[in-house]
Amino acid sequence: MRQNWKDLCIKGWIFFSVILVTGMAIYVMGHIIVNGWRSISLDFLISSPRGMPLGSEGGIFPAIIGSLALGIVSMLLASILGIATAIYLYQYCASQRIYSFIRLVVQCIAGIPSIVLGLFGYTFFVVSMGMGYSLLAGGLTLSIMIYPIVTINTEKALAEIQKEQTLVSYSLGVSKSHTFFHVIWPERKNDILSGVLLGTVYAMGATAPIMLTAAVLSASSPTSLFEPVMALPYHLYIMASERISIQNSYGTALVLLMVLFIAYGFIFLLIRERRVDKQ
Amino acid sequence: MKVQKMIIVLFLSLMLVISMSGCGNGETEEGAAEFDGSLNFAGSSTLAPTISQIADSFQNEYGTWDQVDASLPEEEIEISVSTGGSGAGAKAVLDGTASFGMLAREARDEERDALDAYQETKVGIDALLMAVNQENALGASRSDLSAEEVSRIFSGEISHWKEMDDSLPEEEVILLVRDVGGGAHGVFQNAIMGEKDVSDAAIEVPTMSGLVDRIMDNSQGIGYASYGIAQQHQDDLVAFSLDGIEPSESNIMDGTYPVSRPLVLVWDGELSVAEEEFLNYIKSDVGYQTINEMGFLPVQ
Amino acid sequence: MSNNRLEKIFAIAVKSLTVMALLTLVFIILFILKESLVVFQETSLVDFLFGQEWRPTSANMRLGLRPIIMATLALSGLALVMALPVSVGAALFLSHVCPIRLRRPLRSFIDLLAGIPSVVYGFIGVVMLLPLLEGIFDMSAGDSLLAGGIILAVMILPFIVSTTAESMEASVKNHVMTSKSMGVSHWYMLRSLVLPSSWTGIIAGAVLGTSRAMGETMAVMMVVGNSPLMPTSLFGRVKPIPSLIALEMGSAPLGSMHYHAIFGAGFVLLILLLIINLIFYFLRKRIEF
Repeated sequence: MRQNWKDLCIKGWIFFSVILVTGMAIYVMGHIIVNGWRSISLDFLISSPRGMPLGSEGGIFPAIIGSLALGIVSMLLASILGIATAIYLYQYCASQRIYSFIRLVVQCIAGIPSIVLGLFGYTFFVVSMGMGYSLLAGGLTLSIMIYPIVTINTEKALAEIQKEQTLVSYSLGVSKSHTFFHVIWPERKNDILSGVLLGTVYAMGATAPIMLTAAVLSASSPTSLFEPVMALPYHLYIMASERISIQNSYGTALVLLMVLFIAYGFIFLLIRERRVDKQ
Repeated sequence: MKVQKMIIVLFLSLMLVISMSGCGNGETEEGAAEFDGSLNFAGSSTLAPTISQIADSFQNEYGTWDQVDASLPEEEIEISVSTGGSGAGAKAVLDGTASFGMLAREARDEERDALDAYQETKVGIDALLMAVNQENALGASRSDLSAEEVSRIFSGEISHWKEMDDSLPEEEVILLVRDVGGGAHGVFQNAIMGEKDVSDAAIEVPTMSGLVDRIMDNSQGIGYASYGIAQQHQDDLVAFSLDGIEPSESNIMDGTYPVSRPLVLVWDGELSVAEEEFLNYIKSDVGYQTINEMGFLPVQ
Repeated sequence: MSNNRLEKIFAIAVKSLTVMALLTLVFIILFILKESLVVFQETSLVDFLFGQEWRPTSANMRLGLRPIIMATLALSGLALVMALPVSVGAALFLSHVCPIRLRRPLRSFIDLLAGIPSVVYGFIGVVMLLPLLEGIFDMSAGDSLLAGGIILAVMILPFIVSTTAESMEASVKNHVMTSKSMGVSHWYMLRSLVLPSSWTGIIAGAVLGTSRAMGETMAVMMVVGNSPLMPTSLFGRVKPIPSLIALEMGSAPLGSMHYHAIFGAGFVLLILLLIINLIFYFLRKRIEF
């Protein structure tokens, strides 16, 4: 088959796009890895910020713990609400209209810009409810942000179950709750957990919602829900915009990316296990 | 199954670690229900690194409150510092999210009035230097600027260097200013600009150190740099004298240099025991030295 | 019969949690609206939305969002224009050209890109993009509308690719078989059949990308200069709504007019995004059928 020039055009366009995208991604990540690697040492990771001004000589331990804490708090809250919503949609929702409506609302919550959530979180959680800048306020704000991810992913996970299994269960007189815990959950827990993990990772990388509700320049590792925390993305932002230490900014960025990759690794393994099990 | 178990174990252990550190505090908490060992500072980005530094020394030196004063419980010293600008500092005290507000300017009347029992203490003096990059042409040819000229530059009336002086290049003047929350913003506005607004085209930098950094990066930039921070970068910046007055330490201390600003800590009402202890530390020799090292002019 | 009670508790828990979550949306919208209303004592709605100057702290307070709104729109528009062609090309590759074995990892790679936090993109923008722009275009300061647009384009790429590729994959079965049996070249099939029929998917991807671009805060804030000017030149500095909120919220005293104005700006952004997300939702529904 002769390839006329139009075909060549589209071929060229497609390959150009792909090379551009992958090239850029690799260059950017490579840049961070190469530059950040120099900053990362056991010391950098384990100690608190040092140097004059603080942070210029490394030490991001409180930020790492702070981010993990924020991730856990927001994950717990979001997964309770998110999984519940997904269960409702899958097991209890009878009317198509209500179903569409709920999905619409969830989509809209996903559409709330993160800074507006931060604004809301500040005025409502921090001030009105008197929580002050705290892990709790930040966690609550973040949980609103990731709730749609958890819901949509869990619902997808539930929907992939073979309809027969649940129907047979119901027809045998098994209650919905029992069906969930003993039929659906064991089968689908990997996908559900990976959805939750995805949300958690998203929460840990977010800056805007915690800027106004929980994150501070320097603090110790969180010991209670009611204290402010340091967080990796916020720390990166401060280090970069205050030009305290570009070198350590690279290090912080790399740590953040590593946390991301590790989490994605887990998710990948979880999903793969499911497929292996099936065989 | 294995991966899941790994995750669950990881998760549980993390929770355990976090809660264990929390548990330790809980026990002593019961015995001294009134005592709150955590302090928050919020506000000026100029003052924040200094306070962080002092807090760090304080925490390293004592560790727990009972080491500071034997009558206090054995609780971890927790001091957190956040930036946001002087405006944010005043606001944080007002809405109760911080124990102390850090301000790099005089508190405004509205701010004083808004608090039930406004209190402040001055810890140092800073000044705003009109500064340019080492390679800037204006810096090379002139060493003094009149307040009038500065005002015209920052309002945008002089938008290209050539307009100031024919010998200068035909380049756009890059204005570097603090955003509206910064203490420097208000100080500069009052001392130099008066009724005139700073040009819309100015680049608003969210922190003072960022601003200084931008000046150092950009040969066409001009901005107002904190004296303290400029001290740390003397070789990279050229500062002008204003209306003939040098921004020297003595001129700033006695007020001759017109664009000086106080560094104050602000709070509402009575200080708690912990707050008072730390405040004393800030005003002690250690605090004095740190403020000095950071380039500011300490006040006792 | 404890099973019965457990069942009842389960059902109630699930339903009430769902309702609680949904009510949050309403609550947030109303809350922000309420805090914004105060602005209109000072400025009329028209003046607020279309006023030319944003000077909330000057002696002569002016609260006009026009340059800010235009900045938000311009940034997203620019990002979309840059990202869309590349994304569609990549999506075509992913769904039709890429060898099957590479598909899964490539897809995961794209999802990975989507997960990179916005601060990291902003950081890269500051250390890589700004100096690059300053060098190429001989700018004194790289912060510009262009820088913001480029960063946003990179950020929304994975989203557009994902959405578009999904809809293209749906058309695979239809077109591949028929084309092969008619002896039509792969490329001809792609440009004459797949592209036109994926139109809805492409638009959905574009809408999703736009919504992400408009709501994006950190990355943009770090490279765009934040001067509240109208976006008249690619090299000019602008200040979109998210930057406005992030930068000014810290210092606007609780209850002041500035504070309420920021809420007003936030509300405008919220409504804009809600509308765009609604559009996306309905487009998505059409694809799924």
